[in-house]
Amino acid sequence: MPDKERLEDQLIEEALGRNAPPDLRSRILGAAQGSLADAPTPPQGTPSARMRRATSAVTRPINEPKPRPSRPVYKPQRNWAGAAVVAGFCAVFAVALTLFVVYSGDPADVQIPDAGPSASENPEHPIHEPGRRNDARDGQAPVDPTGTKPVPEPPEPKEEKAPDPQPESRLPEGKPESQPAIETPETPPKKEPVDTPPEPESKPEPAPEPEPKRESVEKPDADEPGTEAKPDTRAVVATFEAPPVGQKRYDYFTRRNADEKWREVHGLSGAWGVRKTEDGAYFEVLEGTELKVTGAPLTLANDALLHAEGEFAIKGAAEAITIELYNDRIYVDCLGLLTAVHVSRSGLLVEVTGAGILEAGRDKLELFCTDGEFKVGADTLTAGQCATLSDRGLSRRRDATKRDWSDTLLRTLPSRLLHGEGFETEPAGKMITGTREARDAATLGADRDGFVAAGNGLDAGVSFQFDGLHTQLSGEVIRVRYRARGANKLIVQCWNPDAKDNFGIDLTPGKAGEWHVLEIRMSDLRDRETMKVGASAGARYTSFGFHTTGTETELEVDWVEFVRAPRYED
Amino acid sequence: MHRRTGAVANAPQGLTSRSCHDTPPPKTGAQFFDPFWHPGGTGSLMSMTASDRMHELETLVAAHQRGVWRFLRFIGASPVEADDLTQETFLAVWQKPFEQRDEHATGAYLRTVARHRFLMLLRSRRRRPEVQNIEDAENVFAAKAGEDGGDEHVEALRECMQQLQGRARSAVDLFYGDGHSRAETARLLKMDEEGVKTLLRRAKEALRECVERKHGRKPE
Repeated sequence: MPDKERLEDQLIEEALGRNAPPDLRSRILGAAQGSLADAPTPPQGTPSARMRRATSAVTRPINEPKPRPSRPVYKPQRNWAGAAVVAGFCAVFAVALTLFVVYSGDPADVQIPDAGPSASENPEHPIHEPGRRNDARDGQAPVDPTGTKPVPEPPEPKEEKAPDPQPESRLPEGKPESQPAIETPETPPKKEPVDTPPEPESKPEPAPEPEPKRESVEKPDADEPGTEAKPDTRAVVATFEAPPVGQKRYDYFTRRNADEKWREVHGLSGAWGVRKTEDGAYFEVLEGTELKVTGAPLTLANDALLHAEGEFAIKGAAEAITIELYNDRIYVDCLGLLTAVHVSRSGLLVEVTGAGILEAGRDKLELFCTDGEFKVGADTLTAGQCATLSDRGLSRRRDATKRDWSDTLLRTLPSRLLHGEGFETEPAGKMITGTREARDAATLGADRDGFVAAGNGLDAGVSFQFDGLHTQLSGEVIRVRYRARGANKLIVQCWNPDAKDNFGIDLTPGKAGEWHVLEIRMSDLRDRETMKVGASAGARYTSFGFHTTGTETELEVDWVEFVRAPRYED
Repeated sequence: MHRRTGAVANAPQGLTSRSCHDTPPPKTGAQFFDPFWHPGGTGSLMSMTASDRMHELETLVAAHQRGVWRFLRFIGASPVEADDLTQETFLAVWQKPFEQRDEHATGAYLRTVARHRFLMLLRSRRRRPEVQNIEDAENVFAAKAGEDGGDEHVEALRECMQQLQGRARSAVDLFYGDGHSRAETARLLKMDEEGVKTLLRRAKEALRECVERKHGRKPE
């Protein structure tokens, strides 16, 4: 297809909402800000090398032997000499170890030169354990036989390919998935019988630099059937709503390792670390899965809200979740939960017991705590504060400005569901007034049949008890979907056992017989006794009631939600 | 964890998620694209304070990020690669400021940087470009998308799309909007494949003419 036509097609797709450019402003500016903060101070004055040379004669200890005057401080020969000594030492060491391995092993293993089976029967060398994926992939044993550290490379890598088949013959079948797929079928038939050296384990010296062969792992276009068969026993650490099929743009991507491309989670099998729930409404994220999310929410296993615009992995379990942030930023809200969420980045660790934004910089984290607290060791960042966390601890602590509070991320956040009653089943506490009744989809104005809580007659109402105590959080909002007839007034109220009073508000009902969604900030509730004391964060409630006033009223409540709306400024 | 299965509630005021994708490109400040601007002068990025530089970058990104992303997609980058390369392009410019004469030149420069980055990516992954000649593609893009990188064109297309009616609109929606194949589109519209092909061709011609009219140019 000619370029012009292809471009037209692309623009038409974009006009229809598909293939549209994302808004990368915050990401690019964030990255630029990171580079600005890390930028070195512009050099001024005399170059540092000359200064060093000039002062060395003065600052050198008297008893230290003087360097030869003819040798400048930064001459490279000095390093080469050291390198030669180290290389020589390593070569001697490698030869000694090789001899040790050869003569201390079973003579039978050593003497049979082309014994493929015997090689596989030998106990695995530590460096070829399946977990050591990179070593095994390169298959050239650039590691000392103790398995502790790579042997520094000898002068020149040998061009012969003998080492390739040698470790492969010893590799277990279940070798890592990132093993270059192209190489595996090619090497064994050609090289193995011919090139296997007489001493299979005595050749640690060919150590060409390990070059990751990425092109072969970038094409995992299909799920391997072998990987699908295994049931994944990893814990579910997060869920997110499955967007409707055919949605123009998806927000969730995953990959199996850092060498792979990100792939949309839709249509992927559980082997990729995400799987759909049985009803198909949600995706579950398994522990350790790497995700890239372009501005969409997830609910963590401890019920915290994670809204991400970046790349990260979720590790741990419900009681100790750690988000390893790779790129960009996330918003975490676990205010009021029993368990905190930890966020890590390049060895830095933040314990989030409130809510806020964490943004990855180069070896640092930019923090903005909007609610509750962020804990860093013994240090704490409180609500409304920003700071930078690096390996030197918290720095540049300041109060959040209007600009921080009007961050696009905050303004586009979804609210976090704290408690919900859909009346599909009896409320976990119990129903106090009203009865559960079935309604068809048309009556509900929904896509499927369901249940409502209903009441009728004089001052009809619906109320239920919480399963335990419900503690009010800052920014909490009550949302009710209801339909009423014959009502003069609506009353929303919650019983506060500490104050021994209801906290509520009176409202005008909407149009009779039509479904409405009511939203009330909990901070707008007042005590019913004096109507002067407002409901504040931290207050506890045992029940929720939604009542009408009127002699002959009908009330149906489809659902009730308690959500936490994030704070922001326009 | 409570999960609702019924109707979706209206979000509280101010909490509805807003897409930034459809926002029109902000007008760039005249001083930013000052034709007399030159590095080292009073408006130089080099001599600006950090906050000034950040502001200028913000303006540059707002004006050109969509165009750069579109261009990268056009020359064969995947959406994720386009995201990354767009960022790299602007960071490269951020780290090494350049002279900005006008929007046209700025767009061209950014596309050049983006193209180089994309080619470097292809080389590092040992991939071949899907587009035969990237330079030609760039010329086509510059001619078609215009100074704003295609924003105006897409906006015009959106308006023209309203005028498409009936089966032509359905075919365009299914094929371009939902990404169905031509055969699938034909099946859904209960037509044969050739019919869909013709329908799409005519729809595209109509859209092209409509867009050209909006741009005040004679249709080709």
